[in-house]
Parts: sequence; C-alpha cells; structure tokens
Amino acid sequence: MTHLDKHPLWGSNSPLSNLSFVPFIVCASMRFSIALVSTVALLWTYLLTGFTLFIAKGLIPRTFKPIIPVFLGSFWTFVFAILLSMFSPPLFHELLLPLALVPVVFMISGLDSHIDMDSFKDAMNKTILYALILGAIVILLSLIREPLGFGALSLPTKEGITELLTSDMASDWAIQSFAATSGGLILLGLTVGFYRIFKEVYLHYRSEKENQ
Amino acid sequence: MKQLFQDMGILFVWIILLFLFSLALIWFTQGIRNSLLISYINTELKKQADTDLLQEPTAETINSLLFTVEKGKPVALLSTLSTSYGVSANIAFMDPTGNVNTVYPLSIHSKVINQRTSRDVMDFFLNIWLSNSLLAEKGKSK
Repeated sequence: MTHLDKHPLWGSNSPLSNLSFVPFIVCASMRFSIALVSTVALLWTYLLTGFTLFIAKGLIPRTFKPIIPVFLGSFWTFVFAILLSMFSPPLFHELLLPLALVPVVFMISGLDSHIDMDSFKDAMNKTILYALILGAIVILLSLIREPLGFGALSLPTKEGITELLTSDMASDWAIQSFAATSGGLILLGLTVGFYRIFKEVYLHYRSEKENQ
Repeated sequence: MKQLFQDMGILFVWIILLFLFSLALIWFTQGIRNSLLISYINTELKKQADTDLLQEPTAETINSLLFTVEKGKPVALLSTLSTSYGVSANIAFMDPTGNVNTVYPLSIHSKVINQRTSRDVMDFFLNIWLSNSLLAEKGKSK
C-alpha cells in the first residue's frame, strides 16, 4: 500500500493526483461572487453527503461502496441548485458549471472512505474542514483574479452576479489574461509551487526540532 | 455470489430512491421556478429594450428553456454561453423562420462576458443554439 502511495503515476503525491481539483478551482475562482456561492455549495454537499453516509452506513453495500457517494453527492448538489434557482434564476444559470463540478470534487476528496471509520463528531469536523479549506483557496484566488481580470468586485444577489467597486476605466485597465482560464492556471501553478516550498521548509524545521 | 446479487439489489434501491426524490423535487418546484424566472426575465427585458415579454415555457432541456412570446408561438430561447471569461445566460428572440433576431444578456455579468467575447465565437454559439433539440422538436411538431 505504501509502495503504491509513492508511485509516480498512482501515488497520492503524483502530478496527476494533484490535478484533480484544478477544473473546479479554475471555474469557481473566476469571480468573488462565484467563489462565495461555490463555497456554500461545497459546505452543503460535503456536510449533507457526509451526514447521509454516516447515518446510512449499515445500508451501504460493501461491494459497491465507492459508487453510493457518487449518487449521493450529485443528489445533494442538485438540491442546492434547485434552491439557488428559487433564490435567483440568473445566478443559477451563471453558476451551472462550478456547481456541476462540486460532486466531482467530493468524490475525488476520498472523504467517504474515512467517514465510516471515524466517530460522528470527527467525521463531520473533517468534512467541514475539507470544504472550508477548498472554499478558502477558491475565495483567495478570486480576490486576486476578479479585480485584475474584470476591474471589479462582485457579490451574489437576487439579480445575479452584481458588480461593486467598478468603473469603465477599471474595466479597461483590467489585466484581462488573469480572468481567462490560462491566467487562472498560471496563478494556480504559482500558488501550488509556493505551497510546496513552504511545506518542505516547515517539514525540515519540524524534523530538525524533533531530532534535537 | 449471493452476496453480490444482494449488494446489486441494494445499489439499485439507492439509485431508484435518489432518482425518484430528484424527480419529485423537480415536479414540486417547477411552477414556482418558472414563474420566478419569467418574472425576472421580463423585468430585465423592460430595462434593456422595448420588446415583447415572455409568457410561458413550452419545453425544457438541461440548460435551455423555450418560451412563448405571443400565444402559441415559441420564439424565445434561454440558453447559456460558455467562454474562457465565464458563463453568460442569454435570451434569444427568433423570427418564425428560425433566425435569431436579438440576444439579450440576463445580467451585468452576462453582458460583460458577451462584450468581451469575439463576434466569431458568438456566431458559433448562435449556430449551436439554432441546432438545439428544443427547436428541432418544435420543427417536427409543425
């Protein structure tokens, strides 16, 4: 198992496994308003799917254990989408793509395999933490991408995505490449790169401290 | 082997239950969702132009809705446009021959996306909208 985990193609630290979250992060961090609603959708889906999996763990067939979270995650995201369309129809249409990726993100998080092994409190805490960390990454990236790409800051309202703090001049001056997908990927690459550098430094510091 | 068939049975029960819950949710909320959508679009159309207002939806797919504008004539299609700047929601008015006359974005965000998207890409999407299965169904029923 440890050998498989360190595999360059299938391991948990392989380049391919780290790519799994990229489509969601790129789509959801386009604008601040999209990031906010996506974070709420993440919390809703993670929490309710985790809760349902925990409550119904005796009813989940052992052979098809990984399949049930696929349907449950999609169902709870669908319920969120219906509620969103009742709150604001334009917001629902503009956020279809990031919403469609929320259950995919839950599936690849691997949370479902931990839920039945933990206590109820631990399982719920873990799902909330996973959703909040991903939501925070998306919100932070959107705070960089939206002002630079659209020259604005937006909020989700009943009238759809409403722009605040904007002007024609700001919009003209905005660095448009940052709003484009390629800009998002460049920014994401930089973030992941810096994260890994700081992680290495921190791990080195911890091991030095423990050896003393 | 018996365990496998038992597990398959439980899996199918899960799938069927979730499918039925989803269908029930769609069915129960359809009326309120459609009236909210039409009321929002008509308010937006009044702001943007002096044009006919939508009356009722006649057909629906996963990301498009066809509306009647005058009684019995389905001529307005709500559809989304996916570009590298994001997704914009638009309502397209069509003449009786099926040509798109005007496209109205549904919000400021959609308007910004449309403005930044090149004319060629917009034309490409209009062609996709015209090949929409809802319009094809409408053509068959005539």
